[in-house]
Amino acid sequence: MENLEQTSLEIKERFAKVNVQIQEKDITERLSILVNKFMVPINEARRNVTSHFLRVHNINQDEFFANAGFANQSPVKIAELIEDNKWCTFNARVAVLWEPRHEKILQTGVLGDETGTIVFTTWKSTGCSVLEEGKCYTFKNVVTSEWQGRMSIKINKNSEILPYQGDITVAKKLVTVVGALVDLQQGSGLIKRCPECNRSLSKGSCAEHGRVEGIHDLRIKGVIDDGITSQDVILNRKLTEELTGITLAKAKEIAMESLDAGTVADEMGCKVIGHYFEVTGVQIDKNLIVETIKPFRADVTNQINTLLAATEA
Amino acid sequence: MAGNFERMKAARLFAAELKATTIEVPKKGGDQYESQLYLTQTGAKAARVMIVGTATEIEDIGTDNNFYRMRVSDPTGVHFITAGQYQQEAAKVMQELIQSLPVFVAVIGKVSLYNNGENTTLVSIRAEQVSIVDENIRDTWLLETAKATLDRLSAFKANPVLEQEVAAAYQKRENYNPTLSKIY
Repeated sequence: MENLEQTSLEIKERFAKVNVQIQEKDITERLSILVNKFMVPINEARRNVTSHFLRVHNINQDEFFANAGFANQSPVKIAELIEDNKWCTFNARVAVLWEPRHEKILQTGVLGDETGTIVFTTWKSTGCSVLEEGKCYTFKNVVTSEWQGRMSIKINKNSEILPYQGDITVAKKLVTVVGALVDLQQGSGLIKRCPECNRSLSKGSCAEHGRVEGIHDLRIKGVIDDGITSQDVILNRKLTEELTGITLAKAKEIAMESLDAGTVADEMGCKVIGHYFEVTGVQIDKNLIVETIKPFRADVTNQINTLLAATEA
Repeated sequence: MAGNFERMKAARLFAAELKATTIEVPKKGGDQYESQLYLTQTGAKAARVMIVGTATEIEDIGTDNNFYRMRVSDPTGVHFITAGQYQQEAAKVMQELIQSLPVFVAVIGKVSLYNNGENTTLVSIRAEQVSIVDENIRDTWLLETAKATLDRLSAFKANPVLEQEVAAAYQKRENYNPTLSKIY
């Protein structure tokens, strides 16, 4: 019963915000019929009662939800967004835009502020404005969502995106891992990218744009492993060339000679697999986008002596 | 395969420890891609290993197809590495290495056990990757493996459940305790 009264009070206050006064008695009555007689769960009952009074008072549903609950939230920082399904408002810079992976998605990418970064998605159905990479915006009434332990932002039809005048520096959270490079994965070596979306081609065709004339590129998708954890790392063309000494031109030559682009990855593998590296970069999903990579050399003599001393003790 | 499938880490094991490994960890079931783990005498459960040592011998023991077997020695013993038609890259590297023995190599591969029918279990590593390395990498690996082995030993002593599991699996176990001075 307590729940009923609490809920009807909340509904009443909600309507009061749009200057509509409703008798609490009326609300409670409706709720109680639904809950007690028809055994409707309280959340469903609340929804039903709310939309009933919306209809009675002829209020536009979208406007009601946009204005009633969340409009005047004060902005938060991205690092504070740790709770699932929470409405929030914040200022951020669009750090990266990715190619949407679904026809219903308008835009997707990464937003960042001084405290961190977060993935966002806007949907075509929401009629949301198009964001520009590198610009700052205020994101009002957006919802957090958690999937496999990672937070992202969903922008819905009650959200509002306004240009933000201030300057926001996106925090780069650099991660360093040390370990042996134990594998080069599919898609390492000489690859072709789609000229439209920059995605790598598989068998000469792009997942989005079909058969295209690809642009050659080099990269390494590797695994760094220290025996306890492993980390997928991605090296761009510059780092790949520096690390392996194989330039793009050389790679094309190798591929041409063997009539197989896979040879490039094999040759790269011979030069780097089993070697120890210290790798620093930005973590995006399960990959570490590498910014610097250098061979790791342990101070073996000293450390062995320390180990020996500790064991003999 | 599930999207959040987790890669098996490459355990660092000395030859002495791997050679003495004869026990398969029972699979949990329910996943057709589940790797076979092996229980070592220090309580490590590993499917994949990384070893660095000196390749001393490489033979083609295949009958129809090429099938290479390589001996790689570290300071505690010898690893047997194999590569056949399903490990083409590794096989290719091994074939090329025949000309340049002895040489320091790094090997990453999956452990497999063979029972020769006479109560002897042979341990080998099916190579996924083989590459030439230098002395410096060999030393780094030795240090890392020594540390990892010591860490396993102390974790093992602090974990009665694991200790019992190993004791039950290796009833006739000799006191396995590689000394660091031997390794160094």
